[in-house]
Amino acid sequence: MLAFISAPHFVLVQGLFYGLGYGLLALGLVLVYRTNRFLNFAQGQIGVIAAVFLVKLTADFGFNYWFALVLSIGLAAFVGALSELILRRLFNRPRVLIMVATIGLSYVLLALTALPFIRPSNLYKPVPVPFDLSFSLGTFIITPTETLTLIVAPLVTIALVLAVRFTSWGLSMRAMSENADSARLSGVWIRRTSTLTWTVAGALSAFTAILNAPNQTSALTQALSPDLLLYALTAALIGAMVNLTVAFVAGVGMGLFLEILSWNVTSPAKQQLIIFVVVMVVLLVRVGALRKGARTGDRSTWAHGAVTTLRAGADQLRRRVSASGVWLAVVVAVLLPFVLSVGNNVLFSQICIYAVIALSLTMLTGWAGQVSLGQFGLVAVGTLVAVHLGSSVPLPLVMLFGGAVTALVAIIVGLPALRMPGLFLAVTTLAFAIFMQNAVLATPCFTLPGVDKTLCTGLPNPAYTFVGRPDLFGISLASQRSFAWFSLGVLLLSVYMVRIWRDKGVARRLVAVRDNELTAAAMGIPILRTKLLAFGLSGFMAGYAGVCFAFATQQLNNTDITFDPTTSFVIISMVVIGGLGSIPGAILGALYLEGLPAIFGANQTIQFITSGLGLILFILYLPGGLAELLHRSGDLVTAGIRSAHERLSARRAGPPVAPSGSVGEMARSLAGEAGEK
Amino acid sequence: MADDPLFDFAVPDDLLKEAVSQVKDPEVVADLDVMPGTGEGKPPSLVGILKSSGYASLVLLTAAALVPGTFGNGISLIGRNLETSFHMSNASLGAVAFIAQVSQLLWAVPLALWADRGSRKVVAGVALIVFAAFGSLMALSPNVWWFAFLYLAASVGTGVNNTVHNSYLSDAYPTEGRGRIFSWHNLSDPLSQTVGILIFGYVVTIAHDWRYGLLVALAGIPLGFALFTLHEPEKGANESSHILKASGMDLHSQQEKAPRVLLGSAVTRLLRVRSLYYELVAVAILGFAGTGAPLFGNLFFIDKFHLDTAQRSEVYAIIGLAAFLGLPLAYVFGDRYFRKAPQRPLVIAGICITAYGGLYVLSLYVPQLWMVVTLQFLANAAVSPLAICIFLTLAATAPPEMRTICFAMFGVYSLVFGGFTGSVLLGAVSDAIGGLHGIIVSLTLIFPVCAIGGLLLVIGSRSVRRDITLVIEDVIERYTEGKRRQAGGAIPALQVHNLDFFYDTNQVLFDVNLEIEEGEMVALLGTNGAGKSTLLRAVSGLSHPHRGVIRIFGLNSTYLEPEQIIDQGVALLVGGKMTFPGLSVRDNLRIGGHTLRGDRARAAQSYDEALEAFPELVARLDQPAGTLSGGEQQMLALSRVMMTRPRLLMIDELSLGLAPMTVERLMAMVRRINEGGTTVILVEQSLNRALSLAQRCFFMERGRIRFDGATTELMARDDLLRPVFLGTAAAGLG
Repeated sequence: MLAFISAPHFVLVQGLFYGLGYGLLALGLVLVYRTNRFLNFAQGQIGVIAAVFLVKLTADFGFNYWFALVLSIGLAAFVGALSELILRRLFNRPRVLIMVATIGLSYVLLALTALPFIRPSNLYKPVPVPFDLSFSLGTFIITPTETLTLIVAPLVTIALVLAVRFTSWGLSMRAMSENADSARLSGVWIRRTSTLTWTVAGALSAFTAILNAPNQTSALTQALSPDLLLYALTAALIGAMVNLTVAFVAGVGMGLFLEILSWNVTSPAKQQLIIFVVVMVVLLVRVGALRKGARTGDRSTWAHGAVTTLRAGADQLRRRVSASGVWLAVVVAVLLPFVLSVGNNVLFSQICIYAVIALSLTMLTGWAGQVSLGQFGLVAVGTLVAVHLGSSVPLPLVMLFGGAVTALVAIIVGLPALRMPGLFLAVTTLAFAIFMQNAVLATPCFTLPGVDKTLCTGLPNPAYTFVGRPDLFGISLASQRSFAWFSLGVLLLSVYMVRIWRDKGVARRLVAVRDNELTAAAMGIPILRTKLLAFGLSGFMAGYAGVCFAFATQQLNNTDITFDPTTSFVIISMVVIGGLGSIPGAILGALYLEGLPAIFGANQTIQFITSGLGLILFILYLPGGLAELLHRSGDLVTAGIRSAHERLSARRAGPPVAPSGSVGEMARSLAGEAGEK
Repeated sequence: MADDPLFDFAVPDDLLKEAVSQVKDPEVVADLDVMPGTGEGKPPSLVGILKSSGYASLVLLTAAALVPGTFGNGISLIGRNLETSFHMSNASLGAVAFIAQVSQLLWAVPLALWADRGSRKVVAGVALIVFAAFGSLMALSPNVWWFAFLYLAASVGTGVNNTVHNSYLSDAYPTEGRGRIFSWHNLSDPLSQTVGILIFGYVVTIAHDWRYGLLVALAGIPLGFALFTLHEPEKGANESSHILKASGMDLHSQQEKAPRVLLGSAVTRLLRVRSLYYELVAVAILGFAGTGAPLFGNLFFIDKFHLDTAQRSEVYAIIGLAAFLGLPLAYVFGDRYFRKAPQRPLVIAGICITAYGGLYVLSLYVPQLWMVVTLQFLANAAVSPLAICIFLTLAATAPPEMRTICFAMFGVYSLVFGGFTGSVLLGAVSDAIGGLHGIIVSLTLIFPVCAIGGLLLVIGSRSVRRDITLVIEDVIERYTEGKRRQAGGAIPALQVHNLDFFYDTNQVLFDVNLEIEEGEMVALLGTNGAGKSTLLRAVSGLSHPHRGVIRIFGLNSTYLEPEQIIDQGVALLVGGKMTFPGLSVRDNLRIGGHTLRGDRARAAQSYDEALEAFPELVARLDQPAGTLSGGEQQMLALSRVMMTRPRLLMIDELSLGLAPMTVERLMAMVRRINEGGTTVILVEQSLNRALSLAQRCFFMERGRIRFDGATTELMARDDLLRPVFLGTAAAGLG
């Protein structure tokens, strides 16, 4: 088969240029990871601002190119430093939180590119390059910027590698990521070091975007595509997240590979399949190096667990307050479809289903510490099951079958994560989500190689597929109201199930493995099986949620935003905003992210508030999420009831027994002091 | 007796349980009469205060605030002219105004830092002159870019009004009259909106050119120079004289100078002011209403009452007058209430902001224009005392040497959090619903938001007395230290005064006091969870206490960062946690010499010395430190820490998990270090080892120091040791 692979010069050259871009992006990712130990998903978006600003300066203001270039790179460096200052207070929190915060950051940065003094009046104008460095290679003309890339990118890489190796900044950076406290006690200004790293990473990102920009200014104002992120991440992972040189070379290799692939394999679906397989294989091969290189020492993914996953046992009154709150919410939810309009009933079902999806991620990310950026890819698997079997098989069976199939898929996707820190699952799942959207959903049928059998797994018509709603035990679900109740039922059942898993110790085992694999193994918890269990359970839930999703949406296509990988970002935002690892949190998060835009209209501003700025603010100021608010208000109500009760019983008992007011406090403090002595 | 670690680590179960369920101490709150600005009866009259402290400061500063205020309001007045002159759209004019506002913020913090370190009158004067220069140059701007750039530079002038000025006034006049002084100074705001803008408009009309109006800024130049002639009041002098008098201390003794303020330390210290947190949130909410209300209120008047520009400006003029009604209220009541109970102004502020929200929202639903105007007038009157009330509280709760920064934080919160999110959020809501109804609904949001802000202020008011107490304790501590210096005698290597420390809401250190002389070797003993490590972390700067003062060789280092404390010659060695496992031994040592990187020769020398002390490391220079044995890692850590030649070495569990042989070697090394003159604090679990090393020891239990004295004496204290180290160990030693 290898004999079929061919590539003319220009394909290689094209691949080389793309690869240099991926390499630079990977450098930035590695740099930030080495300093702060997390993946910065906003890495690419920082540079986009610089690229857009460069167009603004040169095209709109007529600035000198070189002057504008310096200004733009300076802007990106500044934005990088600013991002670090904002995110800094999260550096001691669970890595998952801060990674999700960088997703929010990239949305904010995207909004920034739309600001009037950054956005150029004409987006489609290529950057005028004031020098002529073009030369031709056969029939292929290499443009000046490409020549520039060819020179600048390797130079930047070499400079960085040398700086990290030999300068005091490099040493400080390596030291702080190993042991921050110890570095500080040696006089290393870790905050400055980290800010400097981000400044460099920002400038690096600007290089990436500007060097890749000239012919694609219009695309640049869009969010950095998940594909690009995936390629850079894979390159960084090949470099084990620590080795700059390897990461850069891997980036170049990635570019070459992709171009050769698209030259030789015409079907985009097949391309995606190969890319997905390659990412999986790369991860599996590099797992050993990743474990070593990404060593987090005693600072695990969850170090300083600021998020209380499992709340300490409360007293009876507090439990009663919680229970009545839950029942009140359930009653309101059951009655709600009666009064809601048809449109709002659709929304109601949607929120319920999103809540179930969020719950599935709560288990995987909140409890097991495995970051999934492709949860909606799993949902898509369930959806496909519903599309193919929904009309012929009874609904409960479809749901069970969809769940089972998805669980299997989830386990396969999760395989590399079995021996790897949970953060890196983000990469495979991201690859999976892209693969699902572009390959599986888009291909109605494909022929199995070798066996010559046709399998139909995708959407029958990728552009528009209609799914009819089945009956449930003879009751029609066709009306939006009855479907709302059905979705609520699924949600309640799911919550009940998850609660059982939580109380019966599944959660405890997952958390134990997450926090300290070694100790957990020593306590007799089978690591492998526990991780598989996490993927399986999460996949199962996402699967039957996907079945419901198909029936709720009814009209499906693969180009829509629905199955875009960014939807998975929304899901993880839900879980974080609701409160990582919290069951009511998942529901509140779904309510917040799906409900708010529906109420206030899905315009840009609302999107910005909920998923960009809102996400960051939540993580910064309410790390426990909405669930924390809920618990706090529960505590408040309990305290109120208790004090009212005490006052009542005191009145009944006659004159107050305990002295009150300042005199009482004094007496109490005196008593306390006497007790001390 | 054999050195059996088993004995050392065993802790009875019931004791552990007790340690976990620690009792919260009642909070330390100073007596009311010690608090500055409080007292019996009526506060002294303003005339008296002005007579004794001089009129000049207040008059000049009010004028200095008036000029940039008039200028800023004037620019919005000539907005239309600017648009025609520069061919701008509404949006770009808005963008220019926004940039000016943001740059005002950018200036505020560095200027505040400068003011807190140096002379505030100079900062105020320089800012005003810079403003005047750039502001008047704006009259010559050929295009909008120049205009925006100059405006950006000129906004320095407005950045100091509520920061440097307030800080100056807090010290220039006695605490008893602060509310009234602030009220007069704040009068510049409504004045610039009425009288100022009239003058501005008059100039523009007569000259037929908006450019002449901008020359108003020129008034800033003589005023700026006049500010230089003022005297610079000593920071916190009013407070300390009151506190010391009330505590019966001798006023005239020499006081230690206030430490140089570092931004990081200032922010850490200010975050300890609990009421400030609530005030900041409330100010953000005020910004929310303050930005949202005019922006969308304008649309409200257009859509509901179809007012044109002229009519609207009349309406605003009437509503703006309300400040003249509100300020006198603050003037009359602010000082009086503060005198009786310092927390009360904040409660009033809470009521004010809630009333504002209520009245404003009510005004949206009344049918007649005159009703709307009346209600909004009342709302504005209700909200105008708010700033004074908050300023009063803030001036009292912030340490005097950080006051300007504290005031500067207000602007940041009000504009960034309140103004920005407010306008975006209200805009989103109003767009989503659409039309007049959308505007009304979004403006109605102001009431719940204000009510929450009011509630927060009332909650925050409960911490005010405790926050003032912290300031009082600082003053007294500094005074005592000054006296001690005056009396002569050696400066201790380490002093810890009244240290409280919390992890979240769990208090782990309770009023810890200790003093260690230079050259001493002391042991810090106690069970697990007694707070030993926390104490050392606080001294080294890794975490900051919530109350109390730490002095290292006499220098107040309470809120310094570890990177700064190491320069004072302090080193902390935490057993088993100090190496960088992924870095080679060589790089580990290079990090040890990090602070010496300016001095290559010394760095190289200390590197050689480190290897000399533990020659076995030489063979492993290129090996990752993580592959070394536990003992070797500890040696590496110790030699690395010694590279900076600390004067105070703190060791947290040197012997943790090490073989007795290794421990002996390390201990010998520590003894040698101590003999070289370095003060050593050794945290130990083992009484034996403490006995063999240190003459003096501290014994900690549940976050308190329970014993301070000779180690041999502690051995006799069965009452302390028996429950902790099991009877046998103590008995065997005794």
